[in-house]
Amino acid sequence: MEVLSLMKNCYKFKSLISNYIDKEISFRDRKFFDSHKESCISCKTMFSSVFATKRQMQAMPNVSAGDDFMENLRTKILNDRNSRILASQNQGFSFRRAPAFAYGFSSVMVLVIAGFIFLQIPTTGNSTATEMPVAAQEKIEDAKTFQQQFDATPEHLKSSNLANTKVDSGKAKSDNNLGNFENNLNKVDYQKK
Amino acid sequence: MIMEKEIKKSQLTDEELIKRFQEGDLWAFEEIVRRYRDRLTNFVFRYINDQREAEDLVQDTFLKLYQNKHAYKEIAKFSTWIYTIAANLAKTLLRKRKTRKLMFFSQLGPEDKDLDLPANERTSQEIVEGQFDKKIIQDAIAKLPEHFRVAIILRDVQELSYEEICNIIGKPIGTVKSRINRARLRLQKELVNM
Repeated sequence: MEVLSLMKNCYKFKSLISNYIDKEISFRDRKFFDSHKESCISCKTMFSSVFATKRQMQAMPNVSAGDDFMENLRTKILNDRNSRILASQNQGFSFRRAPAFAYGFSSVMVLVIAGFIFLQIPTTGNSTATEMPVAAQEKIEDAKTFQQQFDATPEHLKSSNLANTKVDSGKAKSDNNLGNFENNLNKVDYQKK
Repeated sequence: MIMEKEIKKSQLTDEELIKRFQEGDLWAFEEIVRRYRDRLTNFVFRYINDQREAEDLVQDTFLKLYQNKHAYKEIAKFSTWIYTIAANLAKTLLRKRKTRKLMFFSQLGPEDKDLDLPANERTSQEIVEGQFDKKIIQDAIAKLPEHFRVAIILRDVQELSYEEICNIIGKPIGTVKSRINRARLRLQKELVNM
């Protein structure tokens, strides 16, 4: 029991050595420290050696920088500056170094182009761009009707009635247009093919 | 006129100097370097145990300060800020060194590896009186784990306050006190074993 208590005290003593040396110890702990130091030889030896080593460490000669320290430092600073300049010159284009307004400008450009493309696309589903204009279709139909009427005319009348037929082609067109509508369409399709 | 400027410059606090440097006064930067180069070289040397590398690392610290002068805000003491930069660089260097060492040993065959023989034992008188050679103390410091090493150097070699050490290490005061105490006991153990 006594040995255990002594061990406990030695442990406490060791934990207080620095506080004692640095004079940061409470009155109560100091009392315990002093009394234990007198009763325990190994702890006393330990304390003396720690204290002496600390004093020796304080007395160790200061290692100072060499005479060329300042010169070397200047060279280091200059070299560092030069290497930074060189690095920035050799890097070429980098997104990291692009200014903020460049990002803004490019996004505006992208939006404008996208908007332009969007406006070009028709909104209705059926496209009329490829369909033939109505006037052109009518002209073709007229020509077909005239051809049919001309073919149906007897040979002896063809030459004399040519002028009349031409004149009446408008009337004939209106008469035949409805009757021959499907027929005409088929012919136009055939010709197209 | 120049003499007057020199005297005025030396009277300025660190915080006033860094403020001037942030405004573009290069003289203020040179004064900061003049004030801290030896202190930092000593600290880094005790930490990494190599003078040439320590000097190189302190130059890198000032280079970082030069590049990131606007990163300093007046909420912290300038000294703790620059010590933090140096400590972080030293930590990185030690990590690299460890990796290099590991790679080197992994390339060696089992017959190439040397055995570490224990050095001569210290006499009991030396241990009690703490009369160790400066070189031995330096080697013993180098054997401490990194978190103990930085704490004991800042306290016992650089003689900084606990508060300053807290700010540099970025740990609460209780942790710092405990680390320093354990580092001192561990250093004693190392010295006895060397």
